[in-house]
Amino acid sequence: MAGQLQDVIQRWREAVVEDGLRPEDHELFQNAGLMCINQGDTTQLLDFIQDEKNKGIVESMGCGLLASLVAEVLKKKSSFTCQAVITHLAKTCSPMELMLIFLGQVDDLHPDLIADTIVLMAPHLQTVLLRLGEEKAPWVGLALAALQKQVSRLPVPYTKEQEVEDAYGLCRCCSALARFMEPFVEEVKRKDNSEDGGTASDNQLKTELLKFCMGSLREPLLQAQLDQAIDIHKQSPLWHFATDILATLPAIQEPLPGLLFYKALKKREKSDLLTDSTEAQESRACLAYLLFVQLITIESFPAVFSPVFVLQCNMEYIDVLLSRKEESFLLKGLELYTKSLERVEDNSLPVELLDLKSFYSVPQHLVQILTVCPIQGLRERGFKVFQLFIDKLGPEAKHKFFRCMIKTSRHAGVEGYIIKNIKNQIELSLKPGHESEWFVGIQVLPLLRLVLCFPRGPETDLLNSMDRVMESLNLLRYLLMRDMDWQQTSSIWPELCKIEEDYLQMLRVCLALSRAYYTGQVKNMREDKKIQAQEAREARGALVQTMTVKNEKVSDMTPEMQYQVLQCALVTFDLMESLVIRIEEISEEKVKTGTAV
Amino acid sequence: MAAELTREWSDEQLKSDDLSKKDVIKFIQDNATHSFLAEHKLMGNIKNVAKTAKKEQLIIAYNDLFKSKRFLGSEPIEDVTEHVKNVKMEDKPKEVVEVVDEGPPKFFKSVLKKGDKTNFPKKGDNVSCWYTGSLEDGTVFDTNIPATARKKKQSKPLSFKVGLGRVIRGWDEGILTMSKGETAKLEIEPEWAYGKKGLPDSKIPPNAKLIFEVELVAVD
Repeated sequence: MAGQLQDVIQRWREAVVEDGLRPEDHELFQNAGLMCINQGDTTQLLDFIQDEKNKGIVESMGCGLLASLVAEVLKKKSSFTCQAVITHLAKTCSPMELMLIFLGQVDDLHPDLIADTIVLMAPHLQTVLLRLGEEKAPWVGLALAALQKQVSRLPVPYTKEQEVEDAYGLCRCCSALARFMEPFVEEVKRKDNSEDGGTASDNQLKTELLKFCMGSLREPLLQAQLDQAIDIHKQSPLWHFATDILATLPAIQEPLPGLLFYKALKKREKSDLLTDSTEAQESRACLAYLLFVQLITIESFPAVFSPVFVLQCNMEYIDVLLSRKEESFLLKGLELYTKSLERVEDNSLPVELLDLKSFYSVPQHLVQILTVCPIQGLRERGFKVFQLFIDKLGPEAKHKFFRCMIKTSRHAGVEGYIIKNIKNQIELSLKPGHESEWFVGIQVLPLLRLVLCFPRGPETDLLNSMDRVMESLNLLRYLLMRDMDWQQTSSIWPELCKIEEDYLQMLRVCLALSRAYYTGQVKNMREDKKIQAQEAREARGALVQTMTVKNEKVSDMTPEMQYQVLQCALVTFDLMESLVIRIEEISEEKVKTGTAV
Repeated sequence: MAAELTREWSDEQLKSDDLSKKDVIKFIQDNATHSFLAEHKLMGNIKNVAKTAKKEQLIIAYNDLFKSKRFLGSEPIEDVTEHVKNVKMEDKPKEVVEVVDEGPPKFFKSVLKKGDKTNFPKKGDNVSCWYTGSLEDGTVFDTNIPATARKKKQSKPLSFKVGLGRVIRGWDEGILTMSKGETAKLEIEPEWAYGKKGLPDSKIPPNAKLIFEVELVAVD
């Protein structure tokens, strides 16, 4: 057998020189190689490949072995000789051929093989690309795109433990990709230093690297847990990857202020990542987060931009992040929001900012989080940011924001919270040194009218609107008790009295109606309960009754809970009524003693 | 408008119950100047005023009106328009954003190298500059000038639109006074830099005065 093979090899050697290798030869070579691999005779194969006399054969037919070799290495990682064969082939065979084969190797991988394949193939791809010289730019692009595509299919670790375990290999891949990028980034830097203006090829290389960086920011970095507080020693491969990306961007002449603050069109070949697509926005949002919250490469970022301008720009990214439902996005959005607000002076944001779309949608997203997000941690954070935002608004902006929130809100709790803020603002504005025409004087009336009203009139469900009504009553009581200051701002008082009168009148009607209704419900429940007591015992609490409140079905609750809710409602109405009475008392007191005018 | 009105009711008539508070109020509202009404707290819905004002007070006001003769039309126009302006809040024209912060400029410029003295940037122009920023104690907290001259040739200066509030106020105001090619030292008070908060992430403490050496390379 060995002798036969030797004859064949000799024939090949001659054929190569004459360029006479036939398809049969290719097939034969492949089979022979495959046999070696399967039998574990890879040393023999390696010797053959490395033999100078066989150089021609290897150059012409070597590529055919690659698929099998790669498969072998993936099966048995300790197959060093196979790896050596691949390495040699990568240095010897035609670069174009190699590229095509390698790209095929990283396409459409089985999920379990993604990490291993990428870690294996990246260095070899790099070798081949570096051999391509001036032609490399588009191929680098293809390679980066192919690699990134597979990496984006890997699940992103959620906790520190998961990251350390790296069960799916994402961290390993990111490290491999960082190493893969290095020589190309260096090349771009070198070219920049040595000549003025790059060639088209250099520019394309930059563009491909930029595409890759932006793509990586989006997947996987945007989903990764990169909290500095948790990862104090910053050993995480994902952290290193993020740092590499952020260092690469300015190195390839894409300074961060340009990327983050100016959506300017680039002179170079535009990739779709430089447009306003959601994906591009997500990449930049991740960039903003890494820079401003995790402070990666902040020391190289110009310290000359005004904090309000930075907030304005970041608002767009916060908008993108908060419009998602995944916790990792929301968390990043909230942190970026907090960080950006903290840099701004209290009570300073101009009202014009509220005209920007992002300054409208971000608070709306926040309200969504506050009211329906199931994760308590996020709700708590959201709450803090919400108040922080209000605190940073200037007086006129606060006024406008409060009006906007009351008008657009559909949640009594949110409205109640805003009304509390209004009360606090009025209280503050009456103190010396904090006077603001927006919360004292005629400007406050439209705000009060908006707040102290019942949009649904007598049909208002007081239980539903409880939060809002209680805060409104608190506000009213406060305003009446502080009347002596109002007298300084003439013509407020009569208007205020009118608002108060109308409000309380309507409230009394609502109370009467609501109380009647709920009392009726309680009575019904008591009667039903007697009948159903036996059944409830038998069904062991599994019985659930549907209850209709004002033509809307209340969510299914046990009868006991329903009863409690109704009782609670009645108590609440008592509370409201007593507040109303108190307010009217104060009002009458003022008239009697003449302190009201 | 009658310059002088005649008293319709005597003191006795005023005190009597036949004359309602509302009648008196109506009369006064119809005939007194705005400022008079404001001072005596007689503005607004008659019903409300009647609720809160006592008869004695109205009598006093009525007498006051005839004593002071502050009848409608006797007051200068400015008072009226002032009042109207206050009421029509919604129609207020949108004002320009500039934070009103009158007072001396909070930066000081010394020219280190003269510029061409012709190309001065205007608000909204794109400018490019090299800069080094340091604190009062000399610590350099930021610069965009690379270490070697060769690298500088290949780096790009910082570009931005001046005068639009995108950078700290000291820069916005300072650079507008520079001409192309000029190198200047800008000493900026904290109010026009990063104020009470500072920028701890970039090593700028609170209430820090900043010193920038800026070279204005290009004006768009």
